[in-house]
Amino acid sequence: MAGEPVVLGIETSCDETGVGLVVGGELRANVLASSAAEHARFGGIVPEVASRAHLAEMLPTLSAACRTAGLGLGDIDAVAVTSGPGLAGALLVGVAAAKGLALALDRPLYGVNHLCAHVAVDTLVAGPLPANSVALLVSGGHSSLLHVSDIVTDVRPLGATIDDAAGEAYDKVARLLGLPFPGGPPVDEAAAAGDPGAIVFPRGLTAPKDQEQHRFDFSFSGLKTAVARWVEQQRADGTAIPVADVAASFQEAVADVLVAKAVAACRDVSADTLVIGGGVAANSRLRALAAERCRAAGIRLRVPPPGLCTDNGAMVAALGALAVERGLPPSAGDFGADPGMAVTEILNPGPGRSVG
Amino acid sequence: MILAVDTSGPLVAVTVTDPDGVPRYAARGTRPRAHAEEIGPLVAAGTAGADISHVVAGRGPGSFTGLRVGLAFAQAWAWGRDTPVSGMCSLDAIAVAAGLATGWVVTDARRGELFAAPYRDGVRSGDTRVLPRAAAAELVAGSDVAGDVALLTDDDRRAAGTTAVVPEALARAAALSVRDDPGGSLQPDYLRRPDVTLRAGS
Ligand SMILES: [Zn+2]
Repeated sequence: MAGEPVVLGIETSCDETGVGLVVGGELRANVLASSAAEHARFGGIVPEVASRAHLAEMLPTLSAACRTAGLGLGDIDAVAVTSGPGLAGALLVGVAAAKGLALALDRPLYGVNHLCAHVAVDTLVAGPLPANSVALLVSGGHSSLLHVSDIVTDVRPLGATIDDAAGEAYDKVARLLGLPFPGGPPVDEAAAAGDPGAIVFPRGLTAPKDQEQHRFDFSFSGLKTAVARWVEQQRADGTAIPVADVAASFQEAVADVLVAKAVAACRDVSADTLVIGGGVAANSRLRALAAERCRAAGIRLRVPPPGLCTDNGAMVAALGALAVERGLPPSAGDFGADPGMAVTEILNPGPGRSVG
Repeated sequence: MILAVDTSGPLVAVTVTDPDGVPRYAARGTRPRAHAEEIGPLVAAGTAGADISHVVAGRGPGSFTGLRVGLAFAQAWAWGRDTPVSGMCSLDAIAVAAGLATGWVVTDARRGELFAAPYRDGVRSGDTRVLPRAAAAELVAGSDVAGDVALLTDDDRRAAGTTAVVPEALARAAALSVRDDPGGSLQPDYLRRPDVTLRAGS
């Protein structure tokens, strides 16, 4: 293993406690403990519940990762942790644990950006990312388009949601249709038997007037409302709700907007590679439509397997490993959690940085 | 040597002490609620060259968010060094600081409530609880009381949270906890369920 840095990554930005181990760009362990089931009855993530679960799961997850990888503590060369963006209380558990571990082992610690880690994880599967790529990140917490010139040094936001995240829209539509939380998988499942063209739901921010200000931004709040109105109208008329058709039509609207904007962004910045990450990347329609349109546009599509698309520790280790490989300096000892961490801040440079 | 950390109050307290509770190092953060930012450098300074054989972390009660920083840090540090780690009640350090023998320690629990723990002959003699101000005042009436005493009688919120864990007292309390309860639970003393209508951080 000489020369192959061993990097441990810790992720606690939302409701997944994740620890990953990467050896020289190769994934060795990706262990996850989720508090998702505890949030289900509230229909959304309860930050305090998530934070408590992170603390309870941190050590078991750390040791399971080492066991899975067959590595000892002495093998670890660097520790990486998500320092933002995310839920403040949740992030703090990971940051505190990472600091304790890095200090105990006397190893460098990298505070990394969660969004950039979602992109970096793909390097574990498909190798180095081309110098000029676009990333589409969609989950319950994020919907962003990024221009990735260099995943460890130069990432710029192209657009983001101006209201709900795509995953939130899934959760709300699932509730409307009487499907469980989180809404992504059950809506996707229901949609399989439906007609995506049955109902034409609005595509947010795709009108010509939006092209100037919101060319690469997303809006899912209007779509969510349209689905709610449609369902209510059916109920008022005493008509049974065609769950499969609603799910398929809603899913078509989401995938259409996401892929159209992602492909347009690739054209705009002359990128020949599109990376899709985040929990919604597991969505079957999004994957199929992206594959179809990327092929037509001559864009190489990279989508990590579902287990690496949702929040996990491997993605944090992956970005940390790239930083180590590049010889970048670790974060200063006194960095904290940064719930609103800008995507341009890929690695936490510690104090004295300008917040903007 | 024992490394003890406490993040139950607004400021981090860190100490490295010998088994008799005589601190070799005692430090306190300077920025309220900057636990995560300050704990690393403070522990690094205290543990450099020290042979740590046990780690103790205050498990509160206190701010949920703050507590977790100290507990997560201490657990991971101890795991990284393969060193035993245990928890202690943060109020014990306040009892030690006040020289309380028999009576109560009360601290600010916010929302008009207080945390309270009973002590007999300098040792905690019952469960820590959270209760409304008036009930707390009734409970401790006629006893010696240490901590945020002003909150028992006074509605003046300026009196809130003025009692903190001081590192020197933490050293003595931590040494006692290692002697008496070396396998003490690391479960935070939340004493409250997550409030789904409020944001995290108590
Ligand atoms: Zn994420």
